[in-house]
Amino acid sequence: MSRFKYLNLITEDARYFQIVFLGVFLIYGTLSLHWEFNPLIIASIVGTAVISQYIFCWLYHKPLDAIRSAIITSMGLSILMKTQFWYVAVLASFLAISSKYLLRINGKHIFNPANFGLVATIYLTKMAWVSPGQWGSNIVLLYFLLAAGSMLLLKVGRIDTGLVFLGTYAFCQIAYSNIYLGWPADYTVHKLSNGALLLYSFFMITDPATTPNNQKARIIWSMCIALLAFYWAEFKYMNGTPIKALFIISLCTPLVDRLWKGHSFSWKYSLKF
Amino acid sequence: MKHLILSLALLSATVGANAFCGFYVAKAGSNLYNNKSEVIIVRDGNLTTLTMSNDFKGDVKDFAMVVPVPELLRERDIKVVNRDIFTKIDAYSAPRMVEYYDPDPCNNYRYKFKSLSDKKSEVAFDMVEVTSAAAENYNVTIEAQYTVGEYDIIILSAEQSSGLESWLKDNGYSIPDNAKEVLQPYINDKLKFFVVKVNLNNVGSTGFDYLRPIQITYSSTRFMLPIRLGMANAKNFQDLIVYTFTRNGRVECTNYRTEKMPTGNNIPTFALNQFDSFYIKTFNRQYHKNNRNTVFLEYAWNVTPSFTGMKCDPCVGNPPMYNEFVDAGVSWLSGDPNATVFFTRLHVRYKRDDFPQDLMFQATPNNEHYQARYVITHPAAYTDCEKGKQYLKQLEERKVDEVLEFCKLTGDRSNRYAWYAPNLLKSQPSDDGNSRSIREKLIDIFDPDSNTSDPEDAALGMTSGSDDTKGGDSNAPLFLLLLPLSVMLVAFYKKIRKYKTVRL
Repeated sequence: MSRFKYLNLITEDARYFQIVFLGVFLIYGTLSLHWEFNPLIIASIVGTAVISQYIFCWLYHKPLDAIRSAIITSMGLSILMKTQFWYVAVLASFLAISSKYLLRINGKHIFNPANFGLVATIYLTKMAWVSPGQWGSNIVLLYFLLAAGSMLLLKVGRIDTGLVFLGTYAFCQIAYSNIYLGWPADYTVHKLSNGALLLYSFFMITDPATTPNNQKARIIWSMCIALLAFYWAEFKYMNGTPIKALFIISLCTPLVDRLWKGHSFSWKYSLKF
Repeated sequence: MKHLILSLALLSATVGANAFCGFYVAKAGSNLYNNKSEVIIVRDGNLTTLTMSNDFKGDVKDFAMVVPVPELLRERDIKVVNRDIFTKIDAYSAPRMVEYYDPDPCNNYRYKFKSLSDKKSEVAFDMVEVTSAAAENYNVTIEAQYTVGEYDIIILSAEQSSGLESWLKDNGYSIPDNAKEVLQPYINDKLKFFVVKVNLNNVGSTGFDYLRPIQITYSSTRFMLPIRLGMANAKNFQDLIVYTFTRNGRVECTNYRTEKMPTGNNIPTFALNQFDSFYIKTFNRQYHKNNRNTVFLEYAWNVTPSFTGMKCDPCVGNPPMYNEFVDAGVSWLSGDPNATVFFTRLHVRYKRDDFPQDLMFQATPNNEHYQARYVITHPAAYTDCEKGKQYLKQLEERKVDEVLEFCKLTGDRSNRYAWYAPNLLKSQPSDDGNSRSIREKLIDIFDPDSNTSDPEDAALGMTSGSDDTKGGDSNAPLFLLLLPLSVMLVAFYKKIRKYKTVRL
């Protein structure tokens, strides 16, 4: 077993897995897609997340392994959120982590932390934004996003959420763009092959800690996100709609959990081997 | 045969020699080159003012243009404006070159800034002609009809693309076959068609010997520029320059990548006389390197008239004045002393296969300044002293770097410029990689093209990308992602084996 000590560490907790992948995407985006790279911003995000997580762990007497979640949240923010100011980054990161402890119902936090930090910062400060076009539409990149995302979701048992979201979104897009409007096929392919859409569906919308516990409920819940995101994107011409839709639909999660019972999620025992 | 241009501006902004947003077809075996079109977009909330430049040079009676618009335009929403606006803001925002002079090494001065010079990358474009035919018409509603300046304008709505097509053809607008694939989606999307022809009675009375740009204003949540209608020819690309003015910050494309042009590069002094071709090559190389489906940022700056900070370095032209903003459609400046204007210049080279969607934009709060700027440094004239010898030695090394930088940008072979930097031909101790930082190595792996090539290879003419069509394959570094993926696979494999032995 010792030979696979580090590998086992990765499989033991899906969060390591997620940290590795998000880290690779961040490096790839910075070096190959030439995203603005501001070390101060990244440091502010990661630093604030870790420190505030530490403080909350101490306040709430929680085990320190939640720091891993904080790192994931900060990587998600680093990839998705664009800002010029370090204090905006600090605010986003702090809002993200504190939402986990301050916005709770029935022992479960309502929002995906990165999602909450991002949306709240965009609307509160107007000094941050998302760039849905930053990934381009690169088929090879999409393949890796898809593969990495699927592995993660299989591991945490949330593949249903990701696939239902993507499936519903793709169905609506094809029905509307190709069948109703009559665009050629490559129009829809280009729309759906946006890297941001896949990243949202595999690394944010499917966050096991904030999706409904019951499987049926999760399926309906992710369909709702897809429908709302699609409606906003196609009829209201908004950008980054999956993020905003997730934010709104998350508000219903406690209600959904009350109506449909299920087992709540724990990172430690996510791999049921 | 009539010559005409169909443009979609809000639909298609194609650059046409003839107009923006045109259809271009090949004639008698000669492939048409793209034309450049220019549009100014002013975006304030949902209010959009779109100005389309028109440098049509043919017989004005042959001029025609079709632009999809999201709403029925009223007569006061349509204006003609002076073409000077385009000339001015193009000159002001064009990629630029700055000259520096080395100080006399025999004195103790450091580098000092001496003078500025700039060059516009004015690209010459071929003219294109489009033929028109006649046909029947059906199911087309003329929603409104105006005469504005030298133009007759019709706003059409349609139910079937075949009807619209017939109407257009009947009225002398030729439509390439593959324009059909976008007409129906635009109709289904409830867009109106803004159709423009020249009013021959008025054209003489304007006092201008050219057709002036048309400006339309409408309110819509969509912030987009329809380019699909202008992509008649899938094989040839077209260039489009988009100048945008917003209140707060840069405009970026939301459905294609927006990438900055390289900037701040030190290039050889000979580039001074060939800046146009240098920039065309550089752009071309970036275009291929970025998979031909990227929007390029060439300029981004706060240009508020009252803004006292530096507006450019160097300034290539006079900053736009208050009345020019008003002409362009910036309506929020009057009466508000705190109002700001942010100027973004985007350059898109597109063709049908690489740009299946119209361009969608968003105005971001990003007010970071940017300009595409290239630096040449003139050597000092007097070097007749001890320090001067040292200077000359360094100068030779610097020239090598400049040539390599130049070739990295343009894709030229560096041995072509050995006359400028003779040291290129000398074999130099090659860098074994040990002295390079981890960051440089990483960049090398992920983005091999961005690195200066090895001087020895360069001397032998082995620099990468020596022909224009060869772009970096940006997919290659993606395979690096395989690494963590395979680690995960192995880990899973181990787990699954354990599962089988324990549970089964």
